[in-house]
Amino acid sequence: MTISAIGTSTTPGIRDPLAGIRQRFLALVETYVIEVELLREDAADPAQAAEVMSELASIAHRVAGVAATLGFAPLGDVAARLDGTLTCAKLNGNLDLTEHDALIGQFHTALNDAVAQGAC
Amino acid sequence: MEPMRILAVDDDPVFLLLLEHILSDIGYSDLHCVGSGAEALARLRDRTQRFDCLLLDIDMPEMTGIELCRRIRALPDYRDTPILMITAMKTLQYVEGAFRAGANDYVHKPVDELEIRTRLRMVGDLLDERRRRASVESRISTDFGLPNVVVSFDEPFAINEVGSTIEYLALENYALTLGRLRLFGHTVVSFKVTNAESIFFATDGIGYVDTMANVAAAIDGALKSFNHLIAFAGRGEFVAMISQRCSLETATVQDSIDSALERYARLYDALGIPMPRVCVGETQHAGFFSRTSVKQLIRDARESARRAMAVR
Repeated sequence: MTISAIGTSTTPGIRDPLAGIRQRFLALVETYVIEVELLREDAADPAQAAEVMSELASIAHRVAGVAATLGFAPLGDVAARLDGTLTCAKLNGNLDLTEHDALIGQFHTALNDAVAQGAC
Repeated sequence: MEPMRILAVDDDPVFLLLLEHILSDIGYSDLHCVGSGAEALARLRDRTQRFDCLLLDIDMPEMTGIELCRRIRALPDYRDTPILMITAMKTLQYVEGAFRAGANDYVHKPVDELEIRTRLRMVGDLLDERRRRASVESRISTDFGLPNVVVSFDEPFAINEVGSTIEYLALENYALTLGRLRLFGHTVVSFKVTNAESIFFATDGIGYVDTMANVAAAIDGALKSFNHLIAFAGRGEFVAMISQRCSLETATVQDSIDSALERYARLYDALGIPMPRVCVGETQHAGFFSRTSVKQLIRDARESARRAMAVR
């Protein structure tokens, strides 16, 4: 089940049953925007690479699990890709985050876009 | 179908809210949610409330869903309770690990309403069938004063004592989660107990299950150099999935199984049960460009084992 319309229903008087959950999710997304920014800064320190990778994967995993159902399909898609990429990298012992910086950047942009959409 | 009490375990409270909404929409309103494996185990150990089905996220801090599944299976009340893993994790290691730990099925995040409705309906059917069977066993026990296990010769049943064995339905579900590319990288092979029917009629339900468990252990040993899962499919047939594309030396595998079973020869003789004789079928592989369905692949493997029996 994917909700394609965000915000209020087009039919007046009909409540969006997911509105409350969506608002809660967007509140979290706002915090994730800041967390991902801080983690990208920490990624410059190789000693923190493993921890940064785990935390980024954890945020991506959470977002991937709900974003599409709540009407944020592009965010869900990039989150799933980042989750999968970082999980594979961890399994292979590859902790070089610079390889994934572009994808992390896309994820950060998608988070910002979701916040902007939710504010409309 | 009786209503199901479901326990969902996920460290993401937003996901649990969403799951509650979706399940309520499709008629499953008796849902209980907790945020960690530790909380889940505490709820499950409370015998005043019993859960019919468990939904576990794989990726949780401190205790993963796979570890939680393993610990749940160690609880006497939850050895057979249907467990569905719900997760965005698609790596093969996690999929196989979940089924090895005792999961029955695997559903992807984000949750698709149709998919989860289908999965839960199958769980409901499974539970209804178990209740029916338990009722029959209870009647037999009452009428004859003997403990009994009712098994059908044609139907699959779970073999719990052997490490790589999972339920037949779980094996099918595992294969269905692989997708075309990963299925291409797997090998399917079937084993047939050629005198299964004789064994079935020579002993009771418990004796038949024990004998098939011994065969499963022999097959498990013969395949020990491969990463594999085995399931009993009914009619004396086993299906094994090996997580690499390979050809087996049929004669070598056959010898290994025969040697392992030979150790039980005196025991079977003393019990008056025929020694199980096993035939190995040809390995089967999915094509990459041709769409080979999972059911077709397994069917071909089982047919091959039956042909091997006819030749032997």
